[in-house]
Amino acid sequence: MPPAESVPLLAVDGLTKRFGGVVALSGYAIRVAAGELIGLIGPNGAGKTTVLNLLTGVTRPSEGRIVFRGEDITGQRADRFTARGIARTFQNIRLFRDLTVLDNVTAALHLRHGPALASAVLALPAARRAERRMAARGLELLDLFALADRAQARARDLPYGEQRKVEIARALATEPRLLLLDEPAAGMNPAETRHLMDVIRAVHDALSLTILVVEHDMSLIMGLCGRVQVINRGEVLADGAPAQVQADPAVIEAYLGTRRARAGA
Amino acid sequence: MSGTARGWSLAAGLTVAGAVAVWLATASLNNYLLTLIAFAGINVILAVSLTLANGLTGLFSLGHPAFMMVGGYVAAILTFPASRKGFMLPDLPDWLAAQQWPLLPALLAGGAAAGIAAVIVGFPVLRLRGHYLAVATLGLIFILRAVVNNLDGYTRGALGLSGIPRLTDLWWVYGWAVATIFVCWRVKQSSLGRTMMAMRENEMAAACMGVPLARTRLLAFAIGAILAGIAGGLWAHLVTNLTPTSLGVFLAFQIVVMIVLGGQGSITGAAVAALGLSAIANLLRPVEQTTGLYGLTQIVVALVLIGVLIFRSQGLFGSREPAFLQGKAVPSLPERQPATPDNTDPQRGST
Repeated sequence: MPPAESVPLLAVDGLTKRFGGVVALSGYAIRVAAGELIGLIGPNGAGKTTVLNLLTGVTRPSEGRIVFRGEDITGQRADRFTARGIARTFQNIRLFRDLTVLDNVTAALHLRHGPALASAVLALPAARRAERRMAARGLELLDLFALADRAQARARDLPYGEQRKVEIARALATEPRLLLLDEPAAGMNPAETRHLMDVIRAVHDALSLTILVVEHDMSLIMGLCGRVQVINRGEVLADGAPAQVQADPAVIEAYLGTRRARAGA
Repeated sequence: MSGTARGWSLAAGLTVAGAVAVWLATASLNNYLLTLIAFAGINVILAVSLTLANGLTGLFSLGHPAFMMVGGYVAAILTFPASRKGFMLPDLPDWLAAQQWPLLPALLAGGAAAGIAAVIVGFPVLRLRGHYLAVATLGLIFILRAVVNNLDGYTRGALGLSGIPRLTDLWWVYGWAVATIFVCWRVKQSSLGRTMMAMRENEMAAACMGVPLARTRLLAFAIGAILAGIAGGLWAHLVTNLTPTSLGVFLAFQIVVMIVLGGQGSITGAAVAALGLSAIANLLRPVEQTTGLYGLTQIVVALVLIGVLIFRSQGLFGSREPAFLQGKAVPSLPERQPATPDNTDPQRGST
């Protein structure tokens, strides 16, 4: 779908995060139009996960502004970010390990479909309908990832690759406008990665979702994303089409170093 | 759907069976035994209600006796004979001194007071985690003890309130135990309970799935405190006297032991462990007396606890309920469809 250029879904300006004396991110900015599929790459320690933590309210920025759907949400709590429509997965999987796969997803459905406390305690018909609806919707989401038959398994018992998919299904259960994926292909073999790419693309197209992927796997980024942003040492280095970014001397320097720097080392 | 119906009829059947047991007990047993059974029932209320915070939400609170004290004192002051309030509790305002309430509204008022106390205390205290929270809630017991001691015009201080009317009987205890189990069971089976367990499993992920951490934590803490306050009221009207030291740290540990034995987050486990531990204590008491080995009960309970932690560290039931009580049909997809989301998706049309 063509991105609507006029009003960006997400507008971030001057985002800076300092941990004590360490500047993890400095003056980060990005404009994301609805429907885009963007890759965020950078060498280790570049600040990618810091960007994701700031964009989901997990950490508060030292400076800068996050405007989502025309609303300044800087400094709000993580659950408010989610309620506004930003969902995420985690680099190191953070499933609710002792809950079933289905309960992982339905726990996230509570945000938009959960019944009121009194109604749930009294087991009113509305609450029971809501529970049935959540279970059905949870299974549908799991089915997107071919995981419906694992619904009653404990999340911790699933193999690694499937756990990653449950994380994406759980994030989708919050019904986001913007989905942030933190290294979704980490630890996957090439075949699994290709399958994951198909799933991400399918989700993107079917739900008309805007997705930002942080990833080390260049084949995934280059094959999937229409636009790539590169950061290094907490600063934006390049932003553009994959081919254009790949040819950017600054990016090559960040990843490979320069001839002179290597000679001097 | 048939699964839920089965669950409800099972619950109704168990409730009736329990009522028959209570009726048989009141008809045949002596007062001493009935009192012991009532204590066991109060322990069930305490253990099950603490399950919400300690088991489901993963907060380690030892503060239950403090909330019992709040509920117990409030209820006792309300039911106390108006004729004796004047000289025993001289600081009570006249409108309160003239009151003499029946048990039910007094219990509810006690529960409400405990709930309010939990909300006030919860704001600062629930920012703490793990051991820190345990110590802070332990401190709550001592703070409350000091408050009761110093408000002696309202509470008779260290002397304690004595001559509280003995209004609690086995039926009261049984009714509140059923109500407590019902409320906690419903919370656990609802999506709210699922968000509590999600918090226990991973706080950051729960927040990112839209769970308001502070509010959910406070809710689990406050519901537990309300039920503990009611249990405190029942306790006061069973024992008929209440002093600042009646409900203390030892009780806090007993309740926590029940939860750990039953399995963190299992309501069935908490109830079974509460009954079991009460039974052990009462069966061993005559043994203690005849052999002179006082403290035997605590040693046995400690050994049981150590044994469970070594051989079954998740407790008797883990975090789950036995399948036959769950009464919930396993949900399944209506029919296999191609894996494409349909156009009922709420994302559609709005962008």
